[in-house]
Amino acid sequence: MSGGWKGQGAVEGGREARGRRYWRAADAPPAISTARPWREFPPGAELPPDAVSRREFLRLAAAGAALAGLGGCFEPPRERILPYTARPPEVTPGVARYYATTMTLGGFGTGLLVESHTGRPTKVEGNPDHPASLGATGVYEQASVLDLYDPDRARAPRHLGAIRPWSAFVDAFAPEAGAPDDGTGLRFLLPPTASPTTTRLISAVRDRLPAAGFTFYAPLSPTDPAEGARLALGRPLLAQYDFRAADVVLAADADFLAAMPFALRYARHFTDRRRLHGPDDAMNRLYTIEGVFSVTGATADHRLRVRTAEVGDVLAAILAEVAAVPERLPGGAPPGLATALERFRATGGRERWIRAVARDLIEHAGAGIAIVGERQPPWVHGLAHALNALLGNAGHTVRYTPSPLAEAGASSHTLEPLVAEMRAGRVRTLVILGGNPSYDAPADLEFRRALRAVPRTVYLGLHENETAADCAWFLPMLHYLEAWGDARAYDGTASPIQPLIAPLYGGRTADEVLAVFLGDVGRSAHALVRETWRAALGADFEAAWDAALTRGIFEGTALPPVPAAVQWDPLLRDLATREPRPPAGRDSFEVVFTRDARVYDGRFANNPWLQELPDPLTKLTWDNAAVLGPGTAARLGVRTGDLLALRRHGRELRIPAFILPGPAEDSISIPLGYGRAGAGAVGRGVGANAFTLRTSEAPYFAGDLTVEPLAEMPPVRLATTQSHWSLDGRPVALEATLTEYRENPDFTAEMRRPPRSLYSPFTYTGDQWAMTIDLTVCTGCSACVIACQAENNTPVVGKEDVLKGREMHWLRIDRYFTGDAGAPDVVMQPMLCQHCEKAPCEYVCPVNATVHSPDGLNEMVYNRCIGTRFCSNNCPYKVRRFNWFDYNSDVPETREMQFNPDVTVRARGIMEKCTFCVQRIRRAQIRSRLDGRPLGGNDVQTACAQACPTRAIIFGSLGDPASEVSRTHRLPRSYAVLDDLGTRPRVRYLARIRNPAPTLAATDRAATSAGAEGAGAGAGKGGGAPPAER
Amino acid sequence: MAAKFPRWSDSVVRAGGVVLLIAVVGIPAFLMVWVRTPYTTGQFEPVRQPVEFDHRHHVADDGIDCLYCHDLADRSPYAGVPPTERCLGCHNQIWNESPLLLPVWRSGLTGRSIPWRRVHDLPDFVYFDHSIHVGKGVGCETCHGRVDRMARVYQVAPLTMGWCLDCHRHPERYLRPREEVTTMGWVPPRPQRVLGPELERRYGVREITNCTACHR
Repeated sequence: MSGGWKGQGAVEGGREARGRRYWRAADAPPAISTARPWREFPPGAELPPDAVSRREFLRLAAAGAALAGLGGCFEPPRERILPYTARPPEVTPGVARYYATTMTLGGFGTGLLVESHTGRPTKVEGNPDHPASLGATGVYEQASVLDLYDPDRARAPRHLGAIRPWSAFVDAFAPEAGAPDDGTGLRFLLPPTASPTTTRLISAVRDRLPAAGFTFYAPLSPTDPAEGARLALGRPLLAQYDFRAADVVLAADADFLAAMPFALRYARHFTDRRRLHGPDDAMNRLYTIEGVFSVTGATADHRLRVRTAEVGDVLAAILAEVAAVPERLPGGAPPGLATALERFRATGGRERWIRAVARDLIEHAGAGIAIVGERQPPWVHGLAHALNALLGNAGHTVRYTPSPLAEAGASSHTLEPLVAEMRAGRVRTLVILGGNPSYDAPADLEFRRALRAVPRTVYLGLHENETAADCAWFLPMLHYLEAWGDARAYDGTASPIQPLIAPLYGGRTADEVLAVFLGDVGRSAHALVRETWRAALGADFEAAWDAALTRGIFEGTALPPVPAAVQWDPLLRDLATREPRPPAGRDSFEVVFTRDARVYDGRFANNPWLQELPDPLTKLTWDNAAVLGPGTAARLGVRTGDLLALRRHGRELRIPAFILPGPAEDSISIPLGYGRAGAGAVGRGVGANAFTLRTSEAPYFAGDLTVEPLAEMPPVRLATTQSHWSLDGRPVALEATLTEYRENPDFTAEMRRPPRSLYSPFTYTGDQWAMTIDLTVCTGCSACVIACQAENNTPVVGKEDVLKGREMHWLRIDRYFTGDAGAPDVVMQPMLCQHCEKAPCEYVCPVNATVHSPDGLNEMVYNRCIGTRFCSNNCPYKVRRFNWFDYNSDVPETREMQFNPDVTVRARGIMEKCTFCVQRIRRAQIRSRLDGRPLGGNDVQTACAQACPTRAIIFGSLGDPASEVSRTHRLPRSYAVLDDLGTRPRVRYLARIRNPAPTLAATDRAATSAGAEGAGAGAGKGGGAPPAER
Repeated sequence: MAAKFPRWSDSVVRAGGVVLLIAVVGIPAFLMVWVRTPYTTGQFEPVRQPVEFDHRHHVADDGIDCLYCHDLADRSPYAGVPPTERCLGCHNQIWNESPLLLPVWRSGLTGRSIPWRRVHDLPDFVYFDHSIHVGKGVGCETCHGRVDRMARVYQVAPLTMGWCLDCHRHPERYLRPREEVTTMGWVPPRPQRVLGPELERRYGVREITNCTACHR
């Protein structure tokens, strides 16, 4: 491959809209960009995936020619139709059914409705009745259906590598009747769980085998929030936030819009307060303090960039400011608080910011929220509890409930005691139920070595992974879509897990394995769950059980809030021991281990959809990298892709650097979950394993990292999509502040100037499909991207092909930076086929393969397409995708079961693009016409709109003036991208409105970055370019 | 001056012109006709099935309605091949010892499907929906022919896109009352050119010819 495409280095020329410049790639701010981005396709895009030599080509061509004649000699075999022998009465082949179930992640459940085609689950949707979903889904839920069909899943129980029947395991481990066994030396290790059935079985095992022990461990389930609540409130309670009632939100290292339990609910409720119908509407305000650049930080109105370890100091300073004015607080402030926090108040360069936040919080006392990220230490959580109590938020926007997790707050949630016991030889039998501790336990515990000291080890897992290799017994686990069980959401609401399909490979659930140790060997998971609920549901059990399965929740099981008051004395004693952190030394860096937006903690590493999903901020696919800001990179003298050697306590990790504007100076974040040696064919060896640097005393961030750029090593080619599909410097993402919007509600008018058309008008009849995308509430979480992929059979192309710009996503999220290169503002813009009424693609297709429909769709007819790619060349939005290869031909047979039968599986050599989920439209139209009722303007939802946690995507018919999409198309801040081309898109965007604090106007936004040690220095032109430039 | 070309060269040029004309016009024309012949469309070719099921007997002699076995036709995209239990519903009482029913019994008792061979095979990029056609008054016979006269079922219609569009452009020529959808050999009580437009209005039939109506 040759040519001028510079991959990572490519930077767009920077676009200008309303006086602000926007750019996408991170390496260089727009001022110094020189490289030209590639345009339609990068050089070499037409090359085969692996270099094929000329000799090989000729050989294949000759063989092909020799065989070509044979094809005509045979009639293709007739297709077979295999009907049911006895059709289940509820099944109508050809008509999808939906079943309610629950997916558990991080211990908490999210209610789902799963689409099933004659027994095959194909698509996951959110359950509107479930409090954690409210009808939405995240990327993990959307992608989980592909994990079910993973061909690398474990298929049989094994003992020392040999396949054994399940009964052999039962014989070896079920207690013998009457045997004097109290469970001495028996230990269970499992991820934190809130499942009522698992909880019941755990206590039953504890009762029967009093000497047995349980340990709960997952790498991304810290105990700090519980300990923080214990410190401040005296009990390990959980804070339940009501963002619907919050005018001001302060998020301290809390990625509550994307990466916390209940994030889907929080995102919906938070954005409900930002959905502006008109200039008079009120809007909430979000302040974030963070070191890592998160999705929530990208949404924030004000983002203070400090190292992750300093977040607590800033929060303490805000609390000090608030406590200093007890007369303005609803309940006053305890004596001694202001003095205890006095030394946090002077923190160089941030005073204005801190004071403004404190003032805003006080002005909205009772209608604010201070929320702290899970990875922060307990005392920082304590600060937030104190802040919410002082401001009177507790009881209004913040309520407290006990944790639904089993044994929450107990010492069984730490791994160290178990490992010490294992090392001391006191553990005779260790049963690991899920998780992957051999891979993800803190490195200093040397879990694998401790495991070797245990004589009998059992591991239950979906895959034969790292832990399976270290254990004597391996049992295949059931995927949640083929298992019975139950779960609880973050607020305690219980919901059933019901199977959509019989187990593909056999396997058991954790509940069934626990039951074996109770001597209950014959009981199915179904019976175990029903037994749990038989007592709880009361007399009419069967009816209540059926109702719960139908609706997807057990009614009224949310935990009621409990009164909780801050225990000031212990909190003040703890705060007295805290000192503000001095600035970090020049030679050590902060390292932050982050939950990956794609593979979580590594458990989804074998999911090709997630591997190819661009990260919301770095836009990185098929890799992880050490993410650092431009200032830090300049100090180290590295560019994106350069290999770094990161060292902590004698451990070293080699990982490429990735430069992203926005992280705190001298802070490096590494997504966990990569570099998995024990993953399946998709995820094995992708990226670098950050767990090797992660120790038990600093599992989430540490300040003692040393970094050495390995200049002699060749740079790594990172497959980031940030420079792909460039719109060539045209202004496409518009924004304004709330004040500007109120002064001039019609500020998008400049984008509305369609020229007169030479083409004859088109006759439209019937429903008129259209979409609105609200940039104010889009967080860039990317759930829509996976939802689209799942619905539309979009293929995965692999890292090499992403590097060549061949990714096939019909819907991409363009992430634009604007302002200060060190601490930029962000606009996320989902970009998909705009369904232009005067579509440039249609005029250039020589074979009429893309045409217009009377209901306003830009139709793509695969069977007509001959692959000239003229349409893609002529598309100003760069939303058409070409099948360079037959990506679907080598999809494993099991994964074919996920294909949506209502959408064509495309072959090589044809164009494809967003269809507005036409299969859903036609299905709804047929249904409504058969039922003889008109189709409402809101009755059809595309996959992206249905998945969207914030309802940023609105779909419907313009033919119905009352539909949501009609209403939002009429809003003054709606605009069409590149309207001046006269394409008349059916997708309109609502300009992003920011709500900066009046006291922290434009110039102060630059000061916020100066707070982090003059970081991003040199970018003096300031964050929010003053609106006057307009 | 002697002619540069002999006289017969004129004939060569003329013959060459004819050959060229055949090549440029004739061959494409031949191919275009060829793909429309039953040889390529697969029309009129009785398909041998694993069970010697005779539609003549079941439909004409016994008078079983189409929807008794193909019960999904009015509510699903697929008309549906009946489950084995539907066959055995009757045949465990009557003709239950016939050796012709052996594959059916084998299927019913083992739970393994009878591997029927597809007669009407549309390309995978075509999404035909039975329910809406039945619901709008398109008779079974209109596309499938006189199944009541077929020993082994064969495809009557060419199933080409032109054939589909013929009806989609002029549905009034083919509609019948909903009650008569499954009737074989239905004769319009009034002239179709009067009845058709009336039914088109009554059922709200639209002339849908946009691509995504069938191709998705």
